[in-house]
Amino acid sequence: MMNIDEEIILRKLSEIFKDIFLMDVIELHGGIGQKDIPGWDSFNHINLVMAVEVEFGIKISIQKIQELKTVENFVQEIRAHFT
Amino acid sequence: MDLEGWTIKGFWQIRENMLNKNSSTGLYWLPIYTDIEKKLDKIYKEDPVNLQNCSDLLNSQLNFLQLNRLGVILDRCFRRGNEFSWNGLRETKVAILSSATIEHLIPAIKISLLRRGLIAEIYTHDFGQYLQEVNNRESSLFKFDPNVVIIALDSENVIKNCRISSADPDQALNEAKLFFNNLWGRIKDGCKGQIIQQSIIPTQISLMGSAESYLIDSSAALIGNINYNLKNWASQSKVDMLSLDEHIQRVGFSTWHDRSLWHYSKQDISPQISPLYGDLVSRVIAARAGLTKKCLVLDLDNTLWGGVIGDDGIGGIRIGNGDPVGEAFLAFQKFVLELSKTGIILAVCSKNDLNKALEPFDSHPDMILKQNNFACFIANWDDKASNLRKIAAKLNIGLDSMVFVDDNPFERDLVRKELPMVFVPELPNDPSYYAQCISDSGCFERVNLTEDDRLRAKQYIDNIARSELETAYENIVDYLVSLDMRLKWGYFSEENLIRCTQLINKTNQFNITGSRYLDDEIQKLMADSKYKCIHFRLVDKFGDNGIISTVIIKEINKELICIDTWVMSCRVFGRNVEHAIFQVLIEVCKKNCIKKIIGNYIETGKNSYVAHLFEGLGFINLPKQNPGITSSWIYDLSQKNDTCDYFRIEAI
Repeated sequence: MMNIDEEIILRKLSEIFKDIFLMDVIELHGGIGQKDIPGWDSFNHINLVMAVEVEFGIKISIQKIQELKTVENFVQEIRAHFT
Repeated sequence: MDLEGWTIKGFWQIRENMLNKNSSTGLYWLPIYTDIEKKLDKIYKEDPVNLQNCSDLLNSQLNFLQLNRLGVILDRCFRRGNEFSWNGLRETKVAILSSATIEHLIPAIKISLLRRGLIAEIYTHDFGQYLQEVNNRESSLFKFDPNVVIIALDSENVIKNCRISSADPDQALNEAKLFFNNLWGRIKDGCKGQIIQQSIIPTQISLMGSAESYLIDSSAALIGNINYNLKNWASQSKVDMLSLDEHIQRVGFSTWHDRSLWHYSKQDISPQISPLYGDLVSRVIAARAGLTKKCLVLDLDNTLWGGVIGDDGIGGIRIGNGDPVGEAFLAFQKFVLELSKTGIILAVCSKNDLNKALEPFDSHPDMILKQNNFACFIANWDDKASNLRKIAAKLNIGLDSMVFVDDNPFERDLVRKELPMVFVPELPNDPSYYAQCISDSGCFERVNLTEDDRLRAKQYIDNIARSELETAYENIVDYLVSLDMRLKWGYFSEENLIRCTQLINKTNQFNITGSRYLDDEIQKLMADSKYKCIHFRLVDKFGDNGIISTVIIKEINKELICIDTWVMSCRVFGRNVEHAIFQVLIEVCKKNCIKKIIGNYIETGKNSYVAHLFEGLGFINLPKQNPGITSSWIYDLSQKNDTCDYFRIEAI
């Protein structure tokens, strides 16, 4: 099975974050979490999950939706679908 | 399997292509611009936002995230309110009653409404509180005084409300009917907004598969039954339906409803489908407001047939059975013909020599469309934007009521730039999908179909014959006499109520006060002895024009009446019909011992046609009294009036 580059994931994620949180430039790294981004509320969390699902063509389970609290969590979740 | 070349880069390329061509969730009939993100960034930083810069974005395909961003930008616009001139846009107040979470759908609804010329203020209630809102006459819902009330209930909520006493499916269906009628009744008691009932998204899981309907207490079967019957119940109660079934089938259920998100946040409709959902909602609202398209303008080469008539000749073009490509174009022609039978006016706008362009219509045996299906046929080498203007002028309709279909991206782009009010669908490459694309775009969505709608296309074609006759006469009166016009008038009744209301709400040019009325409001006026609601039908030697004008007069006192509403279809302009109508009004007034008639003109930006109407009818200007009224006029019935001898006036 194909491996997916972490760099590609981060690049795609930062585009999504930019769209949702209306930020100009975002240097996305794994350590960034819900606390660091104003606007990362429950409403936008769903938008984030949905956007990741559409962008990467994956489906995130309800157990995982609640656990995704940092960028690193997202990267791990996406990688898990491609390995 | 050989995976060489199936690189990560290649994989993303394929995904990217999939996303761009993702026709299912997006509004694929709208153009995609490549620099949407840049445009959004640019507008986001603007202060104040210039709505003109947003118009490209409003008319392009956006995903749900881009819609959210544009929604934020536009909200900022709205908050500033009067710093913007919303030329041509109409305001409307929309309340959404829902048992599920709907906040994520609001940007899409607002933006889709803007695309159709409506600025919406949207009211939502606290989560799950819709019954409390409806059952309390003092609720903020009713204080909001909506023009439109959308009811969006999830299947669990409907079942909870309908299966109270037993598992018997018939009884459950009866209870569902009672529940909806009661809900609609209470809304109607509390406000005068038009109700739109959304079909129920069938989220209930079937237990037995194909034989599900035999299972008497199946929730899935019950929801199926309710959806099946809801259309009839709604139509009996004059409630408009928002039918999602067809779109759920086309796009796929799992794109519409995400079970994880339902449990996570009680979203019945998934965020990713919000662009389509918002568009569907706005279609019904716009159709009810009379803002649907009236005329389909078609290119010829590679639009109505395969190939180029000028190059390939009559034997070379592909149209007709026996050839797959020819059959695809034939199917499209059939669709166009059926559209015209629902009252859509057809026109041709083609870059061709006229005689070449007409050749297939005259002599190709397989053509379904004939020359006489078109109200206007323009083939020349001028640019298409100018030709579209010509068609609009000739048919006397607004450019904003036209749809232009052309296979050539260059022509589409040119028309979009020159005439942004014309709807130009992004046509697929494959002619097999032309009809589907136009249908999916919803441009001809209507809430009802009157007998006049069915006849309209023919009436426009008759009009062409009339104007040809007109050029044959040197004197306009001779021409009018030759038309042998009969003006038939009568009061509103159950049979013509829908058409009369539709005419009032659709008419912009000849509408003295910019009146708009709901069916229910008209019914109240009909029952009120202070009002007289009169309709006029015009018949001439070419045929029946249908109901072409309505007038509502209001008694102010025993001797004085005021013209509350007067609308007339632009199809009969230039034939002095307004004089004949006024003659009828004078007779009605004299019969009721009225001495004077007051007429008000309120400028709406679209009705300058009637700015001097009252003057022309012999009214005298009154000093300005009310700032909301552009000019007031009075007519003394003791004065002598001119009669129009070339009309035969008949009371029905």
